[in-house]
Order: sequence, then structure tokens, then C-alpha cells
Amino acid sequence: MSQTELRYDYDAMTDAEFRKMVRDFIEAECPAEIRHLPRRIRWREVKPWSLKLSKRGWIAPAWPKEYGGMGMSVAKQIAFVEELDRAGVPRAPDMGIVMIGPLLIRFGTEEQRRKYLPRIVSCEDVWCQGYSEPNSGSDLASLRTEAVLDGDHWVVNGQKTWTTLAQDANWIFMLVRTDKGAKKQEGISFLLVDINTPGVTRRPIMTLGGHEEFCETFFDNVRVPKENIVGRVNEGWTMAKALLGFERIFLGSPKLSQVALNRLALLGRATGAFKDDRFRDKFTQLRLDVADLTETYARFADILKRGEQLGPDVSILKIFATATYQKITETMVETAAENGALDEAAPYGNETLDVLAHYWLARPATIYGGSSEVQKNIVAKAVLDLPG
Amino acid sequence: MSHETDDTRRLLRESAADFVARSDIGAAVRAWRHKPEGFDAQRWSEMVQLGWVGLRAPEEAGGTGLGLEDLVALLAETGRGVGPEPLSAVGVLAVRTLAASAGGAQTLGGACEGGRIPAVAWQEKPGALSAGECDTRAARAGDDWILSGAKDFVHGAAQADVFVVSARAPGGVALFELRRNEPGLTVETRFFTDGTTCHRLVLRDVRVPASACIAAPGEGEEALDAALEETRIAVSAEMLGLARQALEMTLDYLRQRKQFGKAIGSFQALQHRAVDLYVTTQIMQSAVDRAARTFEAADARERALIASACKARCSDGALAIAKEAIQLHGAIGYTDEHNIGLYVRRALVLASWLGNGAQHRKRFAALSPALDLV
Ligand SMILES: Cc1cc2nc3c(=O)[nH]c(=O)nc-3n(C[C@H](O)[C@H](O)[C@H](O)COP(=O)(O)OP(=O)(O)OC[C@H]3O[C@@H](n4cnc5c(N)ncnc54)[C@H](O)[C@@H]3O)c2cc1C
Repeated sequence: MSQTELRYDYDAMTDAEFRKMVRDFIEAECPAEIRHLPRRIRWREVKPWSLKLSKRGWIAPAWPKEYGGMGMSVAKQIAFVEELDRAGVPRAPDMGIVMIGPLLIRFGTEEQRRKYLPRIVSCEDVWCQGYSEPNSGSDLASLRTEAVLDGDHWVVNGQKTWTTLAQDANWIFMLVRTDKGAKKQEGISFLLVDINTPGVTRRPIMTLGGHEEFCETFFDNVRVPKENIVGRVNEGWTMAKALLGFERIFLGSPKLSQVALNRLALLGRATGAFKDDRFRDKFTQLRLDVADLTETYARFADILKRGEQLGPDVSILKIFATATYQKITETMVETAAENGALDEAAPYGNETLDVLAHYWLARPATIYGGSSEVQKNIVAKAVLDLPG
Repeated sequence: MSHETDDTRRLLRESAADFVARSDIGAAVRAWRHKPEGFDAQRWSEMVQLGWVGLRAPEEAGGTGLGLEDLVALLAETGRGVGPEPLSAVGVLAVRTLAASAGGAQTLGGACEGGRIPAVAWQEKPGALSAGECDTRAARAGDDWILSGAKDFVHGAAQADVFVVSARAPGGVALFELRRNEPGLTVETRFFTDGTTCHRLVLRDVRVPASACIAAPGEGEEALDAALEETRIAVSAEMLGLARQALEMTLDYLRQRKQFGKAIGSFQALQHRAVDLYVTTQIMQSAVDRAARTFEAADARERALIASACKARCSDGALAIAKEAIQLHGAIGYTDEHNIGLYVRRALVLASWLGNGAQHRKRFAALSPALDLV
């Protein structure tokens, strides 16, 4: 089947045909248990579904066909993601597809592409992102984990943290300091590390949501083959930044808000809150926020569809999307009254709803992927041209 | 305020501050959360010895006989420790309910000296605010009563040996004392997000003697409502304490944490946010002070208004501070290991208990005729 699929020219399909094809596949193949989960899915839960996508050649919609992607226009890629979002299909916790793959395609050597890309597409390798450190969060460029060349190997020492689902990954891509003398952005390189190399240890950390969602990742004299550097030594920062545009539009997707709004509507119906003018007003505000968020997202997506680059103003999308998402989940907690103080699902009509799970999931959205404060700093300087 | 009451409050504050300072907050909370035992019996008996549990019981009932302003002084201090001990649930809600019930003296005395731990089971549905929202039934059977129904969201009952249960009898809502092991009574334990216990009671034809009815049909509702209003103010004081402590922890973090070569607290954007939170705690304090000062002399309707104004302010304030505390801590604030999360969880629980901000604003508006506003 995958062979025939690969010969498809997705761009030749109309938008409606394409969406229907994707929707039908999801309906037929994606199990209900993994859809609309109010938490990050673990690899073992999502693997069977990922393998189905992989077999069909749909695991990496944004990659060119020659590397196992779907080789389609940005417009179709966005439609693809929208269809998955609409059906509540979880994004696999795999930074390989969204980050390291595109990076290797753009900056890697042919040898690196041949080594790593097929294993990502086949779901043999699962990647995690090792950027943040205990003392380098918003100020990422101050990172100190270092790699020193010793013969044919880099010797890595230091610590990464908040590494999402590192416990499920077998590879980590990381930013390391390779020149302590240079200006802070200029001494950083991009390194690929097999997480099972001796000297790497992971300690899962529990979130407020009650899940072990990220890890501290320690590196103690970890020997990494010299050829595992991507691009040139000391040019890792520029490459990492080149990937950020796509991440920002991803993080500005109205999906999370839409899902939460639907849940809030369920709550409003089941508790009779819709009969209360105060609730109706709040709900309507949020509903219109989501409508305008959706339109704003489409406006930025159109820029990508036209093949243009996103400017720094894409930061406003993430700021508004995450603020909206949080407001909705706070209103859920408020509407649920005492049920909003319990970390468990309560019955509402024929359904159940764990409102705190949504509240917890929304909390860090204004922290990861560049905090709202950092995004505002960017907009103030790069868009509004304010001094300082 | 006289020198005497001034001194009483200062001493209460000092001993509460000392109590909180003597233990490691994180360890004290983590040792007991999600445990059916709920809290450290040793610490509870210390609170009893200090006179805190009986603070709002009259002296002749074995209590300390202090006022509401003394109570909030105490709870705003203990609230900083976010400990699991049920000071508000037992020391205020149960104590005030028993004190207002004709037949409550014996259990009240036991609670004040520590031999008994009563818990009040009044609520049935999420969002309920008043004692009158009661579907649990009490029917006469000779001299006995037969109770059936269900109660939920019972706070502070981890070690309760007696439940004060409201039930609707012919003639109105009455209050009954039920032993924990009463035949026909099922007690289910769940946990709130802060790890304290949340009990659900199911009563299937529970048969109790006439002596178990401590507030007669019709009298129970008033007794319970008065206690609920006062407990709203007590819980607000606890939220004031936890909000202040969460703010202080956040300010410390803003001073220590360095990014871009500077303490993040030096960024003006964050300084303004910190000031907003400080303003919030100050306004919360005014709400609590005003409520505590005016409550006791007010009539029932005014008490409801006072309690709603206070609980709305403090619920919203505590949640706002909790949310910002996470944000200003960055990723570490989203971990369960960091103590700031204990404050966020407690804020969620106390904000919802006995009605959250939205519920109380709604009730306040409903109780104030338009003329009152001008
Ligand atoms: C759920 C989650 C998943 C994550 N997954 C990953 C991952 O997989 N891989 C990875 O490498 N990292 C990951 N991170 C880390 C994330 O990138 C960092 O949390 C983020 O960069 C912020 O850094 P910090 O947490 O150290 O906060 P800090 O940078 O210490 O910030 C603390 C507070 O100060 C504010 N602040 C900082 N600088 C300024 C300024 N100049 N002006 C105004 N305010 C400022 C921040 O906005 C924040 O409110 C994850 C984080 C979370 C919460």
C-alpha cells in the first residue's frame, strides 16, 4: 500500500479531496482511546498509530518525498495538520519529525540524511530535544554543556533539563558549547547523541499535571563520534534559530483552544450554566476569541502557503493563542465548582470531564517554546521598533 | 481595639508563625498528601493544646471564646504553611455548627479538648452554597430517625470520628450526629488536588436514636448557614496567608534567578507583575479585615453579603497569584517537586470550597437590591 501512496501527487488533489482522504483514514485507523487526550501521549501508547502512518508514507508530511515525506505544498501540509487536530489525533512525542528531520534535510550531510532519516520515518528512532539547561532557559545562548574534541570523539559534559519525554527517546539532538572563548551565540554547535551511550542518565520529573512528562538529562564524559555534528562547528545557534519559525506557528494553532472550548460547552450544558447570563457572556467572549484566533492563525499560515517567510510578528500568534487557551481552562475550573479541585474526571451527562487536566495542560503553554514575556520582548523591539 | 485584644492577636500570630517555621513546609505537606490518614495526629493535638481548634467555641463549652478577628489573625498565619490539618473544617465549620446546635455541647467539648474530631457533611452537589440545598431525608421511626441520601466534598474528615449530617425532615433541615462506623453509612475517600481528603458519604437507611438529632427540624438550617458563612471568612484568611507566602517565594525567586546576566527581577516587565500581585494581597487583606470586623454584629442577610464579598475577593486573588507564581518561576514552577506547586494546589482547593469567586459575586448581586448600590 505504501508504494501506491507514495506515487500520489497530493498537490494535484483538490483541498476537499485531500481532506476527505485524510479524514477517512483517521476515522478508520486511529483508535478512539488515544484521541482528545488532555495530556502528552507516551510513545508506547501512540506507536501503533505512528506505525500505521509510517506504513502509509504519512509520518512526515512536511518532508520531501525522496526522504520519505509527503512532498506536498505548505497549504496541503497545513490542511493535513488541521485534519489531525480536528479529530483530536495526538502528535507523537517525536521531535525527529518536526525538528531534526527538517534540520538534517537543510543542513546535514548526505551521509547523515541516509543514516538518520529512514529510521525516523520507520519509527525506529525517537528523538528528544536537548536545548534548555538549569541555568539557561529564556537565555538559551548562555548554555554551558560542553563538548571537547578528543581524537575522533566529542566528549560531552553537562546537564540538560525539561527534556520532554527523554525517557521515551533513543536519540537526543542538543546544543553544546564548543568554543568557550567566543561570544555566547558563536561558540555553540549542534550535536546528535545516541541516548544509550555510556554516561548519559535521565531522571524523569513529575509535572503539576501528575505526569512524568520531562526529564533532567545528565552527560558525564559521554563520547560521541566526531561526525555527529550537524553543519559546521560553532554554527549550531544559527541553525537552531532557522527552525523556530515553524515551531511558532505550530504553537499558535487554535487546536488546543478549540478542544478546550468544546469541553467548556459540554460543562456549560451539563451544569445548566448556559442559563446564567454571566456564564453566557464569558463563554461568548471566549468563543469569539477562538474565532479570531483561528482567523489570525490562517493569516500567518497563508504567508507560509505563499512560500514566504514568517516575520517576528508571528510571536503575537503564540501570545494570543496561549492566553486564550489558559482563559478557557480557567473558566472550566470556575464552572466546575468543587469538581475543579479534584484531579479526576467527573460525570457530565453521558460524558466525563477532568477539568483540572485541561487546566494543568494549559499552564506551561506560556512558558515553553519561548515564554510569553520573551515573545513580547521580541515584538516590542523587532515589530514595534521600541528603543532599548 | 484594646491593648488586651491587640496582645492576644499578636501572640496568636507569633505562635502560628513559630508553628509554621518549626517544620519544613514541603516535607510536612508531602508526607501526608494522598494518604487516607490525612494529617499528623501529633501536630493536630498540638493545635488543640494551643487552643486553636476551640478558638471559636465559647469558654463554657471548653473553648477559648475568642472572636472572628482573632481567628483570621491565626489562619492568615497558619495559611502560609499550607498544612493538611483541618483547622477551618473542624475548628471553624464543625465547631461553629455544634456551638449553634442545641444538642452539640458534648461533641463540641470533645473537639476543643482533642478527644473527638467532628466533620460536617452538608453538601450534595458541586456548586451548592446553602444548607437548604438538601435532598438527604430524615424520617421518624418511633423515637428513632432514619436517614437516607448522599453527601459529597466533605473537607477535613480524614480522622473524623463523628459526622454532623444535615437532612431534611418534616419541618425543615435538621442536624444529626453519626458515628463514622454507623451501620448503613458508607464513607468513600477521594483526594483533592492538594492531596487532602475529600469524602463522600452514602446513607442507606441509617437508624439513629432521637439523641442523635442535635438541631431540630427547622433549626438546623440556620445553625449550619451561619457556620458556613463564618467558615467562608476563615478560608479567605487562609487564602490570604498562602497568597502572601506564594508571593514571597516568587519574589525570592525573582531576586535569585539569573538570565541574560541579570536577576530576572530586574526586568521591569516582571517588576510590574510582582507589584500587581502585591496589590492583590493588600486588597485581599482589606477584604478579610472588613469581613472579620463587621460580621458578628450583622444580621443573616448582611452576613451572607459580607461573606460573599470576602470569599469572592480572596478566591480570585489566590488563584491569580498561584497562576502568576507558576509563570514567573518558568518550567520549574510546573514541576511537582517545587514547593510553589503546593500553593497552587491549595489555592485551587480553597478557592472552590464553599463557593468560588464567580458563585459569590453572583450571590452578592442577587442579595443586594439595586438601591443598596447607590
Ligand atoms: C512542559 C515543558 C516542556 C518543555 N520541553 C522542552 C524540551 O523538550 N527541550 C528543551 O530543551 N526545553 C524544554 N522546555 C524548556 C523551555 O524551553 C523553558 O522552560 C523556557 O525556555 C523558559 O526557561 P525557564 O523555564 O528556565 O524560565 P526562565 O527563563 O528562568 O524564566 C522565568 C520567568 O522569567 C521570565 N523572563 C525571562 N527572561 C525575561 C526577560 N528578558 N524579560 C521578561 N521576562 C523574562 C520568563 O518569561 C519566566 O516568566 C520545556 C518546558 C516546559 C514547561
